Amino acid sequence: MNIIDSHIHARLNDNPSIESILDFSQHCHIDRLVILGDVLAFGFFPSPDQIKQINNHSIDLIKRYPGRLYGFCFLSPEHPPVFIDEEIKRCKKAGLIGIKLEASVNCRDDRLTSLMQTASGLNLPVLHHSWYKTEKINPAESDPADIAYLAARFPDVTIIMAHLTAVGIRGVFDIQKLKNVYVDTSGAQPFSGAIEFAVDYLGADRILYGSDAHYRDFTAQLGRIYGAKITDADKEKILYSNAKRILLPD
Amino acid sequence: MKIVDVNVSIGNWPFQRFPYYDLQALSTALDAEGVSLAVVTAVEAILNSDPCYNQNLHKQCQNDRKFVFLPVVDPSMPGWEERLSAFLPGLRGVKIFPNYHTFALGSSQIRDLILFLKALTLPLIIQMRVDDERNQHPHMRVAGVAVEDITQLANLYPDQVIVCLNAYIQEVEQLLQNSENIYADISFCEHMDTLGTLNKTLAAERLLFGSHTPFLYTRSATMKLNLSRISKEMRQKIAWKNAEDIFRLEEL
Repeated sequence: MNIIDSHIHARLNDNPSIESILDFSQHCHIDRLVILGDVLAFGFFPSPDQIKQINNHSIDLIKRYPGRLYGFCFLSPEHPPVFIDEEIKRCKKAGLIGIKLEASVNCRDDRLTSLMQTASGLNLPVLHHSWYKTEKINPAESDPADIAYLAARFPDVTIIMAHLTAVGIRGVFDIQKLKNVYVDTSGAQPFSGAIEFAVDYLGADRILYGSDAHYRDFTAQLGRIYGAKITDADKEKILYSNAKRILLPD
Repeated sequence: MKIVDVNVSIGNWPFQRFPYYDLQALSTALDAEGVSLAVVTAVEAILNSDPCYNQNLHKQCQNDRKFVFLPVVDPSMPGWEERLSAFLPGLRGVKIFPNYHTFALGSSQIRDLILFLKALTLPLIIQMRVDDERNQHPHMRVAGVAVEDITQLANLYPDQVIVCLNAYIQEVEQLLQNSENIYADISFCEHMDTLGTLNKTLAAERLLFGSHTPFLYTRSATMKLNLSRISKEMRQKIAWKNAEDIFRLEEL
């Protein structure tokens, strides 16, 4: 079975090295990987120069490993719209295929407006960090209800809500009716039942396999898909065909 | 390859729906994942001090060679020694949840429990957490057991084997580096090629296969083991040999 990992990170300091990540991913039969950038390399609030540094790293990696690595443009909505707009266009021209947002600004904030309009205009998917945390360390961090709010504002933008296990049952219900929102399977330990629940309430067509490697192990993260009590056809959608359709169309 | 899973539970947990709730279904599921033998604990004993949960599971395991019964003990609860003694002979260890049962690892109750275990040459199993602290119910927040507290206990009783379950990878590294009588399971450990990474700095002699089934997908642990880049010898030690030594399973 072909596998696309739609959520990995490669560090600026190359530790672990990209070669070791690619090597181990191949060992786990993962064909293609989407790198989202070293998004926490400079903390929650990177400067524009730091954003460029992270994106240049991603661009360099996808050029070194064409056909194996794909990348997203990392942004912080706290930066001026002019910078964001230019950075999106620069990254798209360089081959990046989507936008990654982390936790510098809550996604209900108006500062996301121009960014989302640009994403819409360029037909770029947006992958947004999300988590229902018992205690938020960073008050700007978005939860699934925030993602749902954003998705309702921009129904023509494909949004991938990160971290299925971490958003839980409530998170699945938050986005259930918003057909432009997908969820990736990354986040936390591989708690049982999460995949089955998401398949039941969202459908397998809206779930993408993501590992969150290098923080996580491809093996354990694949185990939650292979070990789930769902059909082989649904596993294939989650591991490959959904990401192929949404992120890597021919 | 034979796999002994040292971290399996059965029962109800109010915060998660499990795929199976009886020992027969659990046995079938573990067979399908290649687990030959499982050290099993009653989930309800974490939150409910009624001894019936240990007693019922003990009774069920006596008729099933797939499972090794592991009682949960709260040493702050009067009469624990008498209740534990009812499981002799055949007792293979004792599991504690210090942070759920709110006793300190430096307490006199722990000293008494360790004396009990030492007399029988049995391991003390410390479950450091049940779930991810970031996702706990807001009114049911329980922190993980501190590495420092376990290290202190282990160094106070260097002849006592202590097995730590559900430690994060950084915690495993600290625990195993700090004390030679501490062992750890792999259920909560994660990094790129988890076991290959751990094997660079730690001896696999003190790692054990544990899946934290049914809380986690068993397959995540078996894939972690089977796809890791470690030698066959190391893999066997983690998969079953270390567990066999610690729990004296060859006597079964």
